[in-house]
Parts: sequence; structure tokens; C-alpha cells
Amino acid sequence: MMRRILCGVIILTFLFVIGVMSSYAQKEVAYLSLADYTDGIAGLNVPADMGCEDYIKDLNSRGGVDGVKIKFIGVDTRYDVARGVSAYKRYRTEPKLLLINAIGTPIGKAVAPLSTKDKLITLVPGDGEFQANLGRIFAWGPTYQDAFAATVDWLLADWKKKGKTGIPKLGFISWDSAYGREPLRGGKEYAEKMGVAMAPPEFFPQGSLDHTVYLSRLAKAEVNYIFVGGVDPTPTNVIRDAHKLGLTKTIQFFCDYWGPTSLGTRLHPEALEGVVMGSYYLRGDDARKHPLANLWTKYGRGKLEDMNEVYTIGMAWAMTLEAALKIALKEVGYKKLDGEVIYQTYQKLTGVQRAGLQGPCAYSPTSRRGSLEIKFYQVRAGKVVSVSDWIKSPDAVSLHKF
Amino acid sequence: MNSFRKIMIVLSLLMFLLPLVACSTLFPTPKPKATVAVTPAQVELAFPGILRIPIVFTGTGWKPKEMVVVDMVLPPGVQMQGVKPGEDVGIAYGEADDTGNFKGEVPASAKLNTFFRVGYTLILSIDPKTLNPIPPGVYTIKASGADSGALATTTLEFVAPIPKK
Repeated sequence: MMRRILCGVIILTFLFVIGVMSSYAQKEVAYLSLADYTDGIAGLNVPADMGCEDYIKDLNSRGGVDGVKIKFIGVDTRYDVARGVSAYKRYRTEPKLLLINAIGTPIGKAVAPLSTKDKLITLVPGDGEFQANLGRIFAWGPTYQDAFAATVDWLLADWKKKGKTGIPKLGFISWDSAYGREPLRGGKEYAEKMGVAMAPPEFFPQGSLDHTVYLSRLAKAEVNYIFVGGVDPTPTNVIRDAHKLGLTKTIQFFCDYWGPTSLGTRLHPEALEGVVMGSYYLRGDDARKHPLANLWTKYGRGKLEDMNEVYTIGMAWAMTLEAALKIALKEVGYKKLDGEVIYQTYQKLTGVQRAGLQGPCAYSPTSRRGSLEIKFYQVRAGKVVSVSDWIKSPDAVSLHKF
Repeated sequence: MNSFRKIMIVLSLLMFLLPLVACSTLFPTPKPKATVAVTPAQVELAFPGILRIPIVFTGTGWKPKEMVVVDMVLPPGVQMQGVKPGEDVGIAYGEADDTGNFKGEVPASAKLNTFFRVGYTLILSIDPKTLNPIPPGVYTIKASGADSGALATTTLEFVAPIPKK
């Protein structure tokens, strides 16, 4: 009899301990960054992921989101699509994986069908394709074509301000890749609609050391403006070559989100002087003076003046996930939290503020744009300075047939 | 009476056929085995010549429309930037067509990053001084279906550059 009672007590104690342990087990969700830490876009991806990881560390140190912590997984794909797809396949079964950040347009396009089948959401830089065909893929900010269209508006205002008549002519030069071509898928149509002539675009292989051949062709086409794509330091190098050819004296140069950062402008201040950049995130001192920039020093990244401003993009990715987790946990709790719930929740983030690091969140059932606004910056005396307020970018996606 | 007989015959036939149909589901037609092959099977580790040679994986028997991921198994001791020890490295991928055939070519980036383990300069362009080809030898290649989980293997041989006369 005593043996039976003892056995019963042991079993009950065992069950109690298991129950208590499981209720105190760490609640965690996973965030997968298919990143490039050592190849062509590492210059911006490394600081951006630092921002994301630091914000997550800070959030976790404060207890996470309602007790749920975020596990940051960064994989170095070297901007190689085959490695990106393989890495996704390796990590897709990670417990409570909710989100994949595909850093690089070609990787995003390749991983999208897989993550969609797995009912996870994927963040991509700026593909308009995913706004045209709504699904589980969300852009970080306005799409590339929208930002290009906003630049066309800026160009027209500049043309008018300078008292010029006739039709301005715009040149385009970028990487020969899915990313390089994306701005024109709707952006070209917008330029035509607004009465801006476009020279045939120039595409060059990523990693090219010299761009004078392509630039000379654009100069021969008598363009007044040139839009330079590529992830820094590529745009810096393209404009450096344009400066050598004397083109920066007569042609106004533009860059997209990944144009020269403050660190790049230190290398070639003379060549980059006057370059205008449309950005969906804070740049230059706007970024460094932001209160959240203190995470850079708090987590031992170095001096604040050395902070690459794309650090703030990473924080915005993490803040967006934080906002979604708050809603999702309130609505369904931790146990039911999965990719489908996060997908539904991301569509409810309309208007969410990310401490002004970028415009208000524009995700909704009909929008996959991370925000709608861009701000123009200009290189002046080696510094990246703000030359506009936040401006709502036009919808260029709808002008293109995807 | 006639109609009653007809009904009985139909019912009898159904009773005879239904178990057969039910049993057939117990023995489904065997799925075709997933395969993978590579052309060429032997590649010279010569730079930049390798960039001009297409290395193409083809396969049959995959689930229609599934993504097939091609990984190279790294032998112990072969280190690679961005790959943890024990991990395989992705070198190609392709989508199976409606009949389960797939084709995937090794992109230039994989040739540079993986076969030549290239480094980059401070301005992030390829640094030819850092070319560090993987050791010549026969490498195992794993192709896996993202939906079906099917796995097929083959080999790819890398040979040292042949000295030019």
C-alpha cells in the first residue's frame, strides 16, 4: 500500500514539475535575415542588420513583447541567390519562425514562392511586383518605382526652378540585375506620362571597376539628369567616374535609397557634391541625431559620427515586427502565433509610427508598401543634408503590367 | 422482374468492384524516383574560364512545380565564408515543370563565392588576389525538393587547372 502511495506522489510531483517548467519555458519567435555580410551589398547590409539586432537585443533586455523574445538569425548569403534559397530551406523549420527578411531583390524574388507556400511573410527591399500582385511579401518602404517617380517630380520642379524650357532628358544607369531594372517597371511609364524623355538605360555588371563607357553613352544622348542605381559604394564610384569625365558640371545626378552615405561622401566629397538622393529613411545628421541612434554606442558599435545611417533601417524592421507582435499576442496569444497570424497582423499596421525613422507604416489589406513618403537629401560640402520634408511618392506600380 | 434482375446485377458488380477500388488505394502507383545529373560532370578550376562554362543540373521525378535546391557537401576541413562547419552550401536551384523535370544553372556568383572563395576589395568589387579555389576532388551534390522532401545525389568533380603548353 505504502509503495503505491509513494509511486503516486512521485508521478504527481513529476507531472507538476513538467507543468511548471513548460509554463516558465522561454517564449520566443524567430526572425531570419537572409543577409549579405561579405559581398556586394555588405557595406549597407552589415550596419542595417546591426541596427535590427541591437534593437532586438534592447527589446529582449526589457522583457521582449509581452514576455515573448525575438531570436535574430543572420545568415551570410553573400548576395548569392542559390545560397539564399538553400539557407531559407535550412531554417524554414526553425521553431516559431515568423518572418524572413530577404536582403536583396533577386533573393527576395527567389524565396517568395517558398515562403508563401510555408505561409510565412517575407520582407523585400522595394519590389513593385509584390504590390501589384498582393501576397505575403512586404516592401520595406515605398517601392523602387514609386521613389523613381518622386524623383521625376523633383526633377521637373528643378527644371522649372532653373527657368529651362523644352523637355528634360533623363538617363538611367544601374546594375544589370532584377534590382537594377525594377525602378523602370512603372517608373519609365511615369516619366513618359509626366513628359520627361528617357535615354536608353545603361546596365553594367555588379563589381565593375570602371563606368566611363556607360556614362559616355548617356552623355552622348545629351541627358540633363542621370539616375544612378546600385548599392553604395557603387553609386559613389559611378559618380566618381562621371566627375572624372566632367559630367557632374552639367548633369544633375540622383541616387536611390542606396546612394552614398555620409561615410561614402568622406571619400569623394568633390565628386559627390550636389548629388540628390531620395530616401525613405533618415540620412546624415537626421539619423545620427535621432534618440534611438544611442543604441549604436550602447552596443559598442563605435563612435556616433561613424554610424552608417542605414543602421536606422534595421531598427525600423524590428520596430515593425514589435508592433505586429503586440497586436498578434493580444489577439491570439503565444501558442496560436504563427506565420498566418503575422501575415494577417502585418496588414493591420496601417499608420504605425516607428519613431519617425521613416514615414508611417502603410501596410494594409491592399498595400505592401512599408511607408509612402520619401525625403530628399543632397550632398553639400561633404555632408548629406536634408533638402525637403517627407513627400508622398506617386504610385508608379499601377502604371506597369506585371 | 426484368428491372429487378438488372438492379441486382448492377449491385453485384458494384459490390465486386468497390473492394477492388478500395484495395487499389492501399497499393498506389509507385512515385518516380527523383534524380539529378550535372553537365559537365568534371570542371576545371580555372579562372576566369569557369565563368564561361555553364554548369547545369537537370533532374526528373520531382513534384511538379516544386523548388529543387542543389547543395554541395563540403568535405571536413574545407572552410568557406558564410558557411558554418558541417553545413552544405547552395550552388543552384530550379523549379520543376509540370512533368517533374527541373533544370538549374550555377550562377556566376556561386562560382566566385563557392568554387573560388573570392574576397572583395574595400570598394566591394572582386579582389582577384583573393581567389582561393576549393581543393580539387569529387564533391557530393545533394538535390532536394522543397515540397516533397525528396532527395537525390550525384557528384561533381573539380580538377586542377591544366597547364597550357
